[in-house]
Amino acid sequence: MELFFEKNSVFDEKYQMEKVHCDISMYTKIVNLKRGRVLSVETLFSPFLIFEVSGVIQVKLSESELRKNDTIARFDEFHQRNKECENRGEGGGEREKKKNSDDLYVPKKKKKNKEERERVDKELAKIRAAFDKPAKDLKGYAQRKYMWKIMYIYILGYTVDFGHMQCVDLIRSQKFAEKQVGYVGVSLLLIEYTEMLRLCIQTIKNDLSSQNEVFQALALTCIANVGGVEFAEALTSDVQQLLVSGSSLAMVRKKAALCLLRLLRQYPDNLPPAEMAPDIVRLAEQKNIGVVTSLLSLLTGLATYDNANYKGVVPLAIKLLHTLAIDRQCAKEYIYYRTPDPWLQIKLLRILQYYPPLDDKTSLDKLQEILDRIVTKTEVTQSVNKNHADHAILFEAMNVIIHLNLHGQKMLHERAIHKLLHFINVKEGNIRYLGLDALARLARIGDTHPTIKRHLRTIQFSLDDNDISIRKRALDLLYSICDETNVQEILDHLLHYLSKAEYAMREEMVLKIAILAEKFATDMKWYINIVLQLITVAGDFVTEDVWHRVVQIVTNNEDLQKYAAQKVYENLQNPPVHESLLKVAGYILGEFGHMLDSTGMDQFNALNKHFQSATINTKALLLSTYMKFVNMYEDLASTIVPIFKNFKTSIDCEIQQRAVEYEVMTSYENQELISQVWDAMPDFPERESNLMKIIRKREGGKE
Amino acid sequence: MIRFVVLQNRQGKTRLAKWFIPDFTQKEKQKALREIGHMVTSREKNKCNFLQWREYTLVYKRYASLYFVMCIGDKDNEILAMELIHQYVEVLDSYFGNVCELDLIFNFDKAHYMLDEIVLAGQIQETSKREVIRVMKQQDDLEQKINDEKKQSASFRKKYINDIFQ
Repeated sequence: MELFFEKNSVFDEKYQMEKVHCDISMYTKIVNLKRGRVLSVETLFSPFLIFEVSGVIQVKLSESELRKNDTIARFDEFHQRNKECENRGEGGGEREKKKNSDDLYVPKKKKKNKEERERVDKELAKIRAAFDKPAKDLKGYAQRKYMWKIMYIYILGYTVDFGHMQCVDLIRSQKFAEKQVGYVGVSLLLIEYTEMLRLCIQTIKNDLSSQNEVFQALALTCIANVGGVEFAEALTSDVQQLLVSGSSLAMVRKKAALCLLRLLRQYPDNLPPAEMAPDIVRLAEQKNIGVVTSLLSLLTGLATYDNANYKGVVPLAIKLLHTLAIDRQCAKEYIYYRTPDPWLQIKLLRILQYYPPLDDKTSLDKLQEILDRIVTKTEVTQSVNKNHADHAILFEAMNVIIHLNLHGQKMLHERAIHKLLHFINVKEGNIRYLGLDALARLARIGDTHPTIKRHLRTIQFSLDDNDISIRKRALDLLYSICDETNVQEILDHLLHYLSKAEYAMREEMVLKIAILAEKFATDMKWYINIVLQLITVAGDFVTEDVWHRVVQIVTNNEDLQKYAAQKVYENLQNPPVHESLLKVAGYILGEFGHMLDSTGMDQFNALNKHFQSATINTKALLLSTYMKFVNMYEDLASTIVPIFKNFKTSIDCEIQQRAVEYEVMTSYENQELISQVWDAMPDFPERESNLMKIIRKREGGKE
Repeated sequence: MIRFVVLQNRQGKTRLAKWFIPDFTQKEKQKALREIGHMVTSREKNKCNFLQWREYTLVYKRYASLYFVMCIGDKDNEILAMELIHQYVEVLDSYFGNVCELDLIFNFDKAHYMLDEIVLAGQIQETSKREVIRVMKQQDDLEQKINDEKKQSASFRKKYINDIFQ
């Protein structure tokens, strides 16, 4: 791979480096340059990486090529040398913060770690000594430099346990640079030291009430980043004042809004009083879109805590949406790739989801018009970013449609479904992901099922997708649209897929299959088949709850018992036999084995074959089963009792206890009592399946 | 709301980390950063940009050697988060001019300030590039003023001392 480049180089002031412009063409020239010069580095938008490797320029176009020649390692070595050159030279000036040699790159990781740690310790010792000297000796510049160093070291991950008093002092200073360092220090370092935070509260109050908007901004940012109950108690009213006061600048108002939100989240008792509510809502009519954006976040937060007072925001939101989406009028700087402020549109759509649909017909019509326009007019364009922005708005509009439909306002769902179904087949992964996600939520609206089900095949196809995120979504969707008519087809497909699925997904799949099978099974025998198949295919991921549920159901249904016993007996004969299968078989044969044609001896042998390889818990369960056998079949006593005797000296106390007790029971005089003890288990009380509880907990966490 | 924003390079080194939720201790943060680094760097190019990690949703985008990872809440729009990342990168680019990883290493404080202007307390604060750059320039001017004052006073002192020892 060769490269041709211009001879003229430009000296880059910023990094004191040579910058050479290169051009990719058919051939390269390998040129020698002086050592210790970086030529240029890859910028975030350009695909070329140019660097010097021990005096020779090479150009690589792709990461894979980089790795092949171990060029990254060499680049790093060289990068480090470059920085050491600079460090040895002048420090000061623009680059106040001297850096440690952060040379933790592969492959020499461990060695460099030690070096870095030594360097860090050296620096920390130096700074500690400097801070211990009386405060007057420390000039402003030096103080700031040391603070930056401390913060950099902290960000890298080392624990820093000094410098806090300096932070508190720095924020009191009236000079901007020192105050800035102090505040950044406070938000980074002091979060875990709440006593120190208290010292800052007075200074912050002063800054908030000063008329200087830069200081106010610094103080607000600090409060928002730190939060904390004490800050909330002391400072909420000040922040509130700043928010509604007429004299605050836009910049300050924005920050005050979000600050208030943060404080509210931690201390919800401190809600602004109801009288303030209309004021806050009215603020949202401001011209400055930045302020409106922040205010909307605040209003959304307030709406979750205190729904009734902030109802006034809904008509406002609709009006604003109308301006943005339909009139497409917006301040020029907020237009993002020809879409008027997508973030604001989405916030407005989001806040609509917190309130039930209004009764007012005009606003409903307006809303319909807006949603209609969004759903139909979003098209795919060349610009990737515009696509993303438009589709983001589209998906949020879908959410609003779903929300409205769920509250009884039938609107536009047909069109929404068609759009989404079209999306599932799109090439781009992101759209497919979101399409499946939205469909899963849409499926909650009852009458959408028929349309979705017609496309079952496509959805099943998505299950085979390359991307695990998409597969998970497809699984969710299949779970929500399953019902009696298609359960067999879906479960067959899922089981088939289970054997190919990777471990991350298996547990969830097993859970969902078990629940679906139980909910929609027309034929209980089929249900038992499914569960047994589950255990055979993915036994490791079948939790205890799954087979407990099976046992519950079998015990409660008399007609299932013989079938279940038959099935487990057959499955026992086919190796490999999984742990869970052994447990199920053990229990069921113990309870209902007597219904089978096969003799007790056969059943016992089938179980005993796998006894040795079972875990302690399974062995304990099997011992109980053997006891039940002894109770049912007299002839087995002679084979089984020696087993009990054997385990009387077992190391595990559970097994030992069972063995001892059972052996005593077999030779007990009152055999009638024993028979009663070991009679069949009574029916289980009707309880909600544990599995449903697990799924509900998972979904509760997700929603 | 946005839970945290992390910038990591291909080797897993963290260039910027901003947390908006209080439930992570220092140790947990380190662990989380490592896990995220592994997950994100092992993703292939044509996969979609959304990942499920523990109970969170991660949205990531790769720009040259840096991975920008944003962790969002359940109700948040994922594509929007991607666009926010892009907006942040554009702001960085406008400010630094052809931004690269070195810029973020040497000026991590400026990168933090810019992020503070765009996202505050986990919510989107300002979406206009122009506004953010304006604020940053204002801050720079203030800093420059202080430096100038210092230089001025230093030169005065020099002159004064020179005069004394004339």
